[in-house]
Amino acid sequence: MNVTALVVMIILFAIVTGLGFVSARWRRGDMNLLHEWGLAGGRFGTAVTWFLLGGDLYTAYTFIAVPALVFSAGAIGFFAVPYTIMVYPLVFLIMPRLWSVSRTHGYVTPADFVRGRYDSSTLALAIAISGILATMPYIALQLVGIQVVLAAVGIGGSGLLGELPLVIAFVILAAYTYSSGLRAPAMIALVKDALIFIVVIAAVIIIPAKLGGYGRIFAAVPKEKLILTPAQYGSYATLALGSALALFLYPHSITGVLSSDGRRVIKRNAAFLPAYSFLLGLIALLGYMALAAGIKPDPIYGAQSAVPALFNATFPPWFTGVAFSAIAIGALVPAAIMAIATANLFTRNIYREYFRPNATPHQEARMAKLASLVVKVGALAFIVFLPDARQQAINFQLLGGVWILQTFPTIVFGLYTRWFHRWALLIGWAVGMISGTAMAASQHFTAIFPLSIAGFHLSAYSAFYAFLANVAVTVALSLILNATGVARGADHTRASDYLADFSAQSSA
Amino acid sequence: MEIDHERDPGATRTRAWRRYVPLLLIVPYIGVLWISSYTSIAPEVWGIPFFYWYQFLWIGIGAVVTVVVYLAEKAAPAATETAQQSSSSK
Repeated sequence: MNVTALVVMIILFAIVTGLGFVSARWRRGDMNLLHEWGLAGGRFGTAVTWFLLGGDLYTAYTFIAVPALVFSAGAIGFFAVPYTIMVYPLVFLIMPRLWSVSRTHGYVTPADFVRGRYDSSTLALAIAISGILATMPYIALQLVGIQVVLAAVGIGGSGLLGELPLVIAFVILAAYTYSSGLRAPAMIALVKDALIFIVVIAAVIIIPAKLGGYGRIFAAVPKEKLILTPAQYGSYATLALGSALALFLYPHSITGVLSSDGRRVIKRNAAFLPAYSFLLGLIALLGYMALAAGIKPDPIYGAQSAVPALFNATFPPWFTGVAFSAIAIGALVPAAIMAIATANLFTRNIYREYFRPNATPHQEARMAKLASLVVKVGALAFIVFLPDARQQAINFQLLGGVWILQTFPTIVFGLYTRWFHRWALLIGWAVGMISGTAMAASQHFTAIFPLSIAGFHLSAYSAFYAFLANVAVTVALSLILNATGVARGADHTRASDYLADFSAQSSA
Repeated sequence: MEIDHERDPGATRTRAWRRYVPLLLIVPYIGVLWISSYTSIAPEVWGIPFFYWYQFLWIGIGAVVTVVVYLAEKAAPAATETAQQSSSSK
């Protein structure tokens, strides 16, 4: 057991916990209202949004899963870099429209928007379910990230007792999320991002120095893993593009966007967030550094232990503690935002829609707080009772991408045009969900599907194939349904709503 | 706005040109999706193969492109979305 590292971790965790509870008083609002608890009132400016989105989007996936893939599979794992390069131009164009229409109509979730735009609670339900479904394995992945770190420091193991440290961390997280809502992860994100920047910059200076420079590191990588083979081009491109199209459809990303206080804030962040992409690229390279340092994969966590093991082997114990805290807190922040976002979805688009149409704002907020607890218990149960899932958690996350990408036509096309028919979107969504899940299942829940149609062979991300099927069905059925005059439903939004800017009133 | 056009015909030209500035956002997509153009080891920089440092370079280019589009919108709101909004949504 690395006692020094453990002590450092406990101290940092205690500080973060204190912040979590205190944050309820930050830019104080009425926590009995959903948009105060779940969107922090929508008053975050450029800097806070930058920290919040950075803390929200760069998760255990970035710190553990991506370097693990580079460690075990080589160049293909670097797809995360073009992925984050392609995501921000998209954010710049699309998200201000979603922000404007949501602010105009008081939408808290993407499904709220869908309901208003298409006058269809069924389509909104489909969007809400996709969001909740896709986020569950994503939260579980955060827990795996924390577990890997706990195991590396020498505590934690199998069985209920072994999971105790994880459970304690999670109960505390649940408590301050319950009391402070989105303000808690927003404030903790400041600490998280600072720790991550310090650790990564230290890592990419200290570790190559110890290993004899970048030349030595890349020389240690087998030649066939160092660059892509032509057969991998399709997978590399579609993993990057599919992930980029999917990222800002996740409920937790949208929650981060909607909590900002203006279109300008979102656009500026699209320009400044690539600073984290640079970090992500460096973190990906840690996979090769682990290879060069001769790190062997762990029997329980496989390649996912590569980065923690590398830190253990190269850093002094106290700094290992800082690094592990950065990873663990880096997983807790997004886990909290994901729980809040799915709670918002459940409350707005399932509870109020189907169970309590007359729910008061206070009942709504209370339900969301309870739902955030249920989501966390669910994710925790996933880890405790399915211990084998931790080896596969990365693939479940890519399955989350398969599901969330199917909401793209409804949400993103819908931000620009009402031409697509609501039933066409619903059926297209169903086709995408079913075909995507089937493709992923046929490959034992790995991300790449080898498609062969009439002599055409291309291996690509199954989310992307499912998305193409979804769009094809949506377009074809929209043509038919629009021509036959099937009821289109009323559109509760106006063209000007998508460009409305309230920042002049609220941010001054 | 109309008065500006009459006083300074050059401004109209500038504005028409600015209209297409958001198309720059496509550039990073071309850069990273054209995989065969960069999947090679040489030329190396500080021992880092081309494949890796080239993609790092695109993170920077992507950010610069976004800043350029943002500044162009801010400087000439009439040609872009930001301004349509100020006239249409009031």
